[in-house]
Amino acid sequence: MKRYLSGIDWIMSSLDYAGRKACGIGNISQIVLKLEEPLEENYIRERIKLLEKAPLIHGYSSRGLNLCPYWKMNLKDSSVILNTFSTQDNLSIDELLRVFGDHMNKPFRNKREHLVFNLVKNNKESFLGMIFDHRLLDARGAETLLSILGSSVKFSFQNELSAPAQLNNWYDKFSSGRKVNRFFMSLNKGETYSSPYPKINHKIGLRLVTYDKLETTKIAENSLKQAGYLMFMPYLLAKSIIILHRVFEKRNISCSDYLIPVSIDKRGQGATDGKVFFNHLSFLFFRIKPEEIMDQDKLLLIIKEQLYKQVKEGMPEAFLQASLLIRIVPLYLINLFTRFISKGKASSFSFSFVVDNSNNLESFLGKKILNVFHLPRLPCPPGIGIFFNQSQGKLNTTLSYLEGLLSDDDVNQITEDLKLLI
Amino acid sequence: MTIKDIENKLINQIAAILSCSSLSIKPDAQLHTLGVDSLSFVEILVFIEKEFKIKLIESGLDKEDFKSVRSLAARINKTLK
Repeated sequence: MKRYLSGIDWIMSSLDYAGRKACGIGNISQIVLKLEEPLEENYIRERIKLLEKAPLIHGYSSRGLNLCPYWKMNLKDSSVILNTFSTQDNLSIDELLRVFGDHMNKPFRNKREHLVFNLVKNNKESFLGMIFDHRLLDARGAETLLSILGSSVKFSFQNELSAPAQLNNWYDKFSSGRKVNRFFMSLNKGETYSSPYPKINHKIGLRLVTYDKLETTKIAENSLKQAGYLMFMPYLLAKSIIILHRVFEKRNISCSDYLIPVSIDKRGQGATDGKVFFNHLSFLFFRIKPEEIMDQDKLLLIIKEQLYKQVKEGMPEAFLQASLLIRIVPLYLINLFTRFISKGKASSFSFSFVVDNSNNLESFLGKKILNVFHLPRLPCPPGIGIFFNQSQGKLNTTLSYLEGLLSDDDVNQITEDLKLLI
Repeated sequence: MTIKDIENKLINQIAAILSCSSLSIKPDAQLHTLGVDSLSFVEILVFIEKEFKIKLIESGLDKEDFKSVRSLAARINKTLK
C-alpha cells in the first residue's frame, strides 16, 4: 500500500527544496488559533499522542520502481513536539507574532518531522499554533486537522494512506502539458517585477492586520460596490497589487509586468473526508502591467477577465494533469530549470484567500475560538506574500516576507495601506 | 426548455462544482449562502456560457439576477427568448 504523490504534491516538494536550498528552511506555514480561555496542556497532549500514531505524520518522500514519487509511511515511534510558553495577559499582535514567528525560523529536526505545536497561554486566553510542512498539508487541510484535533472524534486517517500512481490516460496528461506550456509561454513575455533577493538574512518577517466583524462587513460591501457580487477574491487581489506596486515603484525596478500566482482549493465545499492531508490545490496566474494598476476599475476588469479566461480554458484542471508529468524530474533539476527559465524572477509576490466555510472552527477542546491566523513562510522567490483568511466572519491579512526584501518603511506603508481597506 | 429545466441543470452543476448533494441546494437560496465563492461563481458563469451559449457577463447583469438559483434561471430563460 503506497500513497503516491500527485503532481501538485511534487510541486510543493520542489518549493520546499528551493526554500531549504536558499534559506535552510522548507515550505512551511503556521496556523494560530486564538482561544477564549487558557487551554489545558494535558488535553492537547492527549490528542497529539493519538495523532502520533498515524504513520503518515512521520513519512517522507521516496521514489518507487515505477519512478513515481510516493510518501513512505513510517511506523517507527516518533513524537510530535508541543512547546509551551507562559506570557503576560492581553498579548498584543506584535508580541504574538514575535513568539510564533521565531519558531518559523527553525527547521524541522529531521526528514520525518512535519508538525510542531506551540501553546502560548496566560491567565485570560491561549494561542495554539501548528507549524506544518506544506508537503503534508495545505492551508485548508491544516485547518481541518486542527478542527479534528480540537473535537472529541476518533480519527485514524486510514483513507489517506493510499493513493493511485495515476500512470494512465497519458494522452490527457500530454495534451494538458501542451496547454499549460502554451499558457506559460504567453505569460513569459516580459520581465517580471521581483524584489532583489537578500543574500544575508533569511529570517521571516510577519505583520498581521485584523478586522472585526463590522469592519469585515464594510470591506465586503466595498467589494460588492467596486468589484461586483461574489468577487471578493479579485477585489482583495486588486488591492494587494495596488498596495505592493507603491512599494515596488519606490525602488525604481524597471520590469514590464507583475506575475502573481494564486493558489486555489480544489476540494469543493465540505469534501474533506479523505482529503485532509497532502495538497488539493491548483493555481491561477495573473499578469498585470504597471500602467494597468493606476485605474482600479480597469485593474479589476483585467483580473476578472483573466480569471474568467483561465477557468473557461480549464487551466486549473490542466495544471493538475500536466503536473503529474513532472513527477519524474528530480527536485534539484526542477529547481535549476525554474531558476534558469525565470531568471530567478518566477513571480512578483504570492497571494491567497482562505475561507473556513466548511471546517466550522468554532471551538477547540471546549474552548471558544476567537480568531484564526495564517502565518505562511514563503518559498523564495518571490519571498513576499499577502494572505487573507476569513474566520467566523472576521477577515485577517498577513504580510509575510523574508527580512531584507522589504525595509521597515515598506512594511509600515503596506500595513497602513491594508488598514485602509475598510 | 422551461425555467424548471434550466433550474435543474444549474442545481446539478452547482452541486458538482461545490462537491455536495444537489438535494442540499434549494432553488431560493442565495448563491453566497450555498458556499459559492469567486472561483465557483466564475465556474457557474462558464457553465452557463457553454451550456446555454449566452455570455451573461456581457449582457448587463445586476445583483437581482444572482439573488438565487431560481432568479438566475429566470434571467437565462429571458435571455434565451
